[in-house]
Amino acid sequence: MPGLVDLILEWLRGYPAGYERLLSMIGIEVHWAILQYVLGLPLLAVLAEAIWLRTGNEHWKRLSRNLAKGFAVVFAVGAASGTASEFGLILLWPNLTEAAGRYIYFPLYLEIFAFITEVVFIYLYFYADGRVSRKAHLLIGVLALAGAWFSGAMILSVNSFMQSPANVLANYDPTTGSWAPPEVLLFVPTQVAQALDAQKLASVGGKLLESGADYVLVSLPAGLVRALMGQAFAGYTVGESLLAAVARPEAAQALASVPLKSVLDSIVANTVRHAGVYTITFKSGTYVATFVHSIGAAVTVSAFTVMGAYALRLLRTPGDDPDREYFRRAFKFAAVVALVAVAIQGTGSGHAMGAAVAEFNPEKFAAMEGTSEQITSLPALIHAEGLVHGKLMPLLAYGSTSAVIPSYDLIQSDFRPPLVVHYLYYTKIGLGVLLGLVALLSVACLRRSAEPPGWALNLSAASPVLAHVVSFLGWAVREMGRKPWAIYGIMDVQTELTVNPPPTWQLMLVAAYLVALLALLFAVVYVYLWKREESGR
Amino acid sequence: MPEPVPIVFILSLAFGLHIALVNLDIGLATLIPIMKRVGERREDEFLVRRAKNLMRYYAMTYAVAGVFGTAFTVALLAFYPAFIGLAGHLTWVPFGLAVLLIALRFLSVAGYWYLWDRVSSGIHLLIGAAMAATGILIPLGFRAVFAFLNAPFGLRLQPKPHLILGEALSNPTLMPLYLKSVFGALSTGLFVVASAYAWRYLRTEGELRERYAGLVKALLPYGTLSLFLMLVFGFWYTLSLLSVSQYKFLNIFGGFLGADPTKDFSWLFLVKMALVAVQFGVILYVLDRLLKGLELDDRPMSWIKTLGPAALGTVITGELLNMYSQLPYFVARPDLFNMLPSWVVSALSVDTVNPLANLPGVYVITGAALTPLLAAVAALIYVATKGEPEDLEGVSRQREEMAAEGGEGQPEVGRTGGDGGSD
Repeated sequence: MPGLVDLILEWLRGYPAGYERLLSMIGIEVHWAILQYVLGLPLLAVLAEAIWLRTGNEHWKRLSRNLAKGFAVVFAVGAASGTASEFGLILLWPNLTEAAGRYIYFPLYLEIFAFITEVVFIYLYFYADGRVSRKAHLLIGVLALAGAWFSGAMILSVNSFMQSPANVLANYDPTTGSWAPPEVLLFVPTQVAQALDAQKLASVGGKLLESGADYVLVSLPAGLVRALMGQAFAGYTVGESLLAAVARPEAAQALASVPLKSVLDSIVANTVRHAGVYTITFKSGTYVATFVHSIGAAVTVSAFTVMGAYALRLLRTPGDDPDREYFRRAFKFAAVVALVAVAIQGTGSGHAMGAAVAEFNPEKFAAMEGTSEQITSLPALIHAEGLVHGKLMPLLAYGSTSAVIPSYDLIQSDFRPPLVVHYLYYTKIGLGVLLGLVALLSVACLRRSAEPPGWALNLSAASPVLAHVVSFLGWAVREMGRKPWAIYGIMDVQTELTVNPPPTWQLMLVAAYLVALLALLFAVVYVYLWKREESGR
Repeated sequence: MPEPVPIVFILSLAFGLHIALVNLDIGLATLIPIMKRVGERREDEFLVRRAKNLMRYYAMTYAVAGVFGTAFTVALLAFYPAFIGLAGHLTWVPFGLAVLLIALRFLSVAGYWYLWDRVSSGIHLLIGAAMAATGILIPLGFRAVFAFLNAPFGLRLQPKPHLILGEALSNPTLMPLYLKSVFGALSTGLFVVASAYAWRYLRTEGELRERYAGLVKALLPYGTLSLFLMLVFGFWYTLSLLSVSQYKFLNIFGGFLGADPTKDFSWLFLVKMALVAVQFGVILYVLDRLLKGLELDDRPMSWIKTLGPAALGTVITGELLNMYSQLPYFVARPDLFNMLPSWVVSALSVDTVNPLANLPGVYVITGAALTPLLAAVAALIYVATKGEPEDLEGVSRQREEMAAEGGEGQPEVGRTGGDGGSD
């Protein structure tokens, strides 16, 4: 049985561009670690300000103002780290970037306006405090929050499309447990379709489904689409490509010197037109769950961070300090928000996310559950495989205990995600439950006594780290589990990669640099913003 | 305006705003640590508080610049995906270096902001120096790409498209373009701040007026020197264009030389030079008064107010001129195109617009969304700059309010008191 290190190495080396993927993961995680506060802190600030408007208690205004000061610079840092991530994607995965710009640019384009809304209203919220009426200021806060979430909604739609495009149909039957490669539905322009030979197409698993005014709807197996996409971006002509093998001989000859990329472009562009240029990414089956779960993660991390910060303040402030009452109130507020957020994450959006993955990415679902003889899954380790995999998961994923979850080993090998996601997923679930318990204990302690005990405060102070780890693991499962695909059913990792991959040492150097910067950022925050307080400065 | 008009307009708007703010950003990032250090050495609380107030605006400038930079890149990706894809394959080193510096920069900006008064003055200065240095160095990576677009030094197409780094960095247009940009940014930053203080001078009564006048007088010589150096390097850049990119050179200067440029943008060059002339006119006027032993009173201060807008206008027109003068190509060497494969030539043409993005709906949405948002940006600038005059001790209304509520000049964790300024 492979160990955890072997499985990590399998993820790194078993798929193309391991070190490029590692660097991307680190770069995007740096961005996400910061971005969560841009998505979460405005909600907490607006809630605190709304309570202030209702109660008139100045503690709430103070809390709201402090949170606003926090996210004013966090936003700037987030914008800069976003630029760095964006350039990273362009440099390492230019073919994916080009495809995204060509076919699913619209949400990215809308994000421009989301960004501007964000930046304007976040800074207005910061600068206009005391210069506009209270209600107007609250409204500005709501608009700042709307801008941030709008921005998240756009980029998450693109990511969801990459996970499960609307025109790619997963091929798993939970009633029988049978798996087949996903099918890709393409609106092939009539002129191009005339060049195809239906019999040859059928021999490779393709089907002509229906005709319309300017198209023939064709179903192709994902393996063929992946190969064609790879050849297109590698500069093949039609004559050199697999397309020639499914074309009528005279058409293959006539198109022999035409770049395959231009033919595929006409097919994909037509498909996008029919699916909806403005809406295609939002039709991804995993989109709604992704949006709710990701925003929920950001709110959860933000609430735990605020809770942790005020726990530290309470731990380090003498009992007779006049600020103590304010710290207690802020701590309680953050603890309640954290509890609500983590509960929704665990039982509501988390479940919806899992069910969506089971339906639209059965291969990833199989890897997450570790339904393979190659490893000892965690349910098997505790001798609960029958219960977890046989009853509980089928019920949660498919709504029936008689359903069957996909077997990893039955999936064709070149469609399998890395098995390490099983351990990451279950670690995430375990730590998520722990996080929920921390919030629950904090709230329970506050219900018993206005002054939480030291152990609860210490636990709360450590909780932001835990929240970050859980959030990171969620994304790690999602993104590592997307392999071998860049876009599920359409483009693989090798195709998205730059033709000039940087040397490994450069990739590792940049990765180490980013990790060092993030570590330095957190160390500085801890040492100078929190610990310094202890020494009385 | 060149074709295709709506796309070039959208790109120009995003790029123009980005560039204006980035120039301000570089100037502020350099000025603020110096200003604070000088204030500390002279034990001049007023100067230290001015530096801190500039830092508050700098955070906004930095963020808005980042947003419009991203907007420009995303718009470019939507309309010209093949060009972005091609650029991605070739520019690992120059863009990669820029990314490394951007990452270091956001750490230094956040550090400088949050650690104000929390670390020793020396350490804070070091962080400020990193903030200034990264601000000045980030454009090097971007300018390397712009230089490549002037003339593709180091490009090889066989066995696959790739870049010979040494050759790319030896591009004759790189150094003058970079140095011109840096000094242009410094003069812009310094003149905008000088204009703001001149404006403050005119709105303030009493002792504070002299302090603002002193600041203006201190900033103008450095701004002038930077402007002069920008012109020197600008001239060098012109000569380098003449040597390696005559297409671009002729589109800028051909109108004056009786040549027949493909796209005549000599008028835009004239606009830029007129804005430079305004700046030198004001400087000469101020210099004349000082040489005559006259003080900088209301009249010269009114003129100095125009320096900032003129400087911003100069860098914006300069950047747009640099961008437009190579149209309709992304690389200003059409004479080389017959050696390139057709897909590369297509990717390098501004006329090759993504058909899925070149839709009326996209332009309608852009107009409908941008108009109110730009109005909101204007409102933000108005609110952010609408401060209260303050006395020499810096006890502003805002600070009094904060003190009454418990005093919060920093985020709650570890706060050490507010700065209170509002100019």
